[in-house]
Amino acid sequence: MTFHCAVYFPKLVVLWIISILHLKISLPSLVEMSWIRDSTLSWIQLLCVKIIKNGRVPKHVAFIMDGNRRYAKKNNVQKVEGHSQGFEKLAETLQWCLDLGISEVTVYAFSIENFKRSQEEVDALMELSRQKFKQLLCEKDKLMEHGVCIRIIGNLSLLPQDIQKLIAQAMILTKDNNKTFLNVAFAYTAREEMAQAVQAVVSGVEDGALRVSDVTQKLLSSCMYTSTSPDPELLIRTSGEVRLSDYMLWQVSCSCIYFADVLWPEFSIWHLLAAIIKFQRSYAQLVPVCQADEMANGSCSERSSVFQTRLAASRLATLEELSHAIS
Amino acid sequence: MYVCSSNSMTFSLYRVTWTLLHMLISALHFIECVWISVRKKLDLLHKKCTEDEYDFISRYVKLFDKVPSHLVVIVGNESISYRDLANVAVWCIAAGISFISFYDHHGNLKKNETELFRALSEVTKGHLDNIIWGKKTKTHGLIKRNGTKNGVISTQKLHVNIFSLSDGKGALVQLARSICQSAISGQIKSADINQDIIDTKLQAEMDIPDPELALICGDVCSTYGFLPWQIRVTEFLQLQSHHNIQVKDFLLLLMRYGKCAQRFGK
Repeated sequence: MTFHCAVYFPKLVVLWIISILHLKISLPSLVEMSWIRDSTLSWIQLLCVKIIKNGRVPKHVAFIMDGNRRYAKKNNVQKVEGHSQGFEKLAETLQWCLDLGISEVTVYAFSIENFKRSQEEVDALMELSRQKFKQLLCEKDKLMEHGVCIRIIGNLSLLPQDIQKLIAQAMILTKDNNKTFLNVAFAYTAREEMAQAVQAVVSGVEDGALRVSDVTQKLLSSCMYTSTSPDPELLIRTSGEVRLSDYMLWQVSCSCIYFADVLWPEFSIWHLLAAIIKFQRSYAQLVPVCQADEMANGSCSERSSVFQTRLAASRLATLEELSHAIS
Repeated sequence: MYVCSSNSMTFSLYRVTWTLLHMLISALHFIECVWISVRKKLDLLHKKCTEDEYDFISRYVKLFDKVPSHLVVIVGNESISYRDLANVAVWCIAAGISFISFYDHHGNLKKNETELFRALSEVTKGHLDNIIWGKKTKTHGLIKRNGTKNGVISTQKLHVNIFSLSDGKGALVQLARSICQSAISGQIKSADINQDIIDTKLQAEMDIPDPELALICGDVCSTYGFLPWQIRVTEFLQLQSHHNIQVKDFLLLLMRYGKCAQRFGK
């Protein structure tokens, strides 16, 4: 019996120390879960950033932040902790993008398909988002100072009312900022986006605002949730999966895609730099594809322009309504 | 002025380092390409013609967890090697893949469909009974379906389709226009339009399931504008080049696909 104690006691002590250290490491992250933070790059990383910036840097990068749950399983923590670490990584990555001069970032935070997960996990994710959006509104000054424009893309009507209100408030607050753009795909799938674009166009024809000849590739693009953004030049997906999972399928036709074999919470500046190097090496070959896609856009008639302006105005009006709704 | 020149010196030092970095990567890439082509030539020399390729593939794929029902070859910026594409098509029959699509965003493959037809005839030694030319080919409907070979009906069929850039976004635009026409004539209301309706209509037009595996040829990883609606859950694997592609390369890609686990959002 004493022998067993002698063996287990040190193990227990070690485990206890590790758990305290783990708490110590994660406690600061619980406190400082800000959207915008100072640069965390070491001097050698900053040096590499400066070197990479001599080549072409994508103006708009899209991320599929995959691997939070696998990270949680790997580190024996709760799934929600994995998602929380994922948010940490998002904030850090945004800072790296700013350091690199990438002015627009679109992230895939929550797919419509994710509603299929257990009610417990969906509720936990909604609660996490609630906290994050509330915090976003608290960091109003920082956002305005850095000129960050926040846009949430997706079918917002699928979300709880109070989150819709928070989102609407965040979007309206920052809508005139134009230094950096952060788009968060929330309750989003590309097919739903394309379907609602077709629906908007058909509705326009039904109303007599458009003619069938006005329906072009360019018009459909302007009806997408991403109508105010240029197409992403680089798409990065983490966790080693090699599919697009219904993300920005319309917008990535001419993008360089980089599949990173690392779980999202473990994504590092080196992975980002590697993706940008890949982009720099692929750019020349993708330019003709972009040009061919541009040529297929078709022309924009007077009616189309009026329709697009009306659509943008009605979307803004919906947001205003949501932001003032009584929750 | 001293500060200015020191800044511009640092600037050009970074620029030089960046150029050297890319030169180094290009050099490594060149060595890799040379090594792969040397290895391919060696493999060809040592090729044992004892086993039939068809039997070899059909035996091997039984070990894989899953095989795609629809495979796409995205040619990218490579020049088209019809012989190699025909080989891939024939290997698909052996692997039990029912649909193969070739995508060339330039549209050259569509223009030169007869070349592919000729290459397939050569590779199958005239036995084109297994091949069905899909709706997206010019040969569709031109060949009389016989389906028998020495009195035995061959069961494994391969549907072949050829796509170009206009079949992607362009097809959605055309669909939107036709739905608009239906709306004008009162057959449909805009409120009724959803994902399922669009999916059904596109499926009816193309008559193929969504691609499960896409092989992107070349160094650049991009969809090159391929069928945006249909690539929702397609697995993308990079193929260095489709020129002189070997059975081994093909099987390795299928093996990698076999290991992919789809969660569909759950």
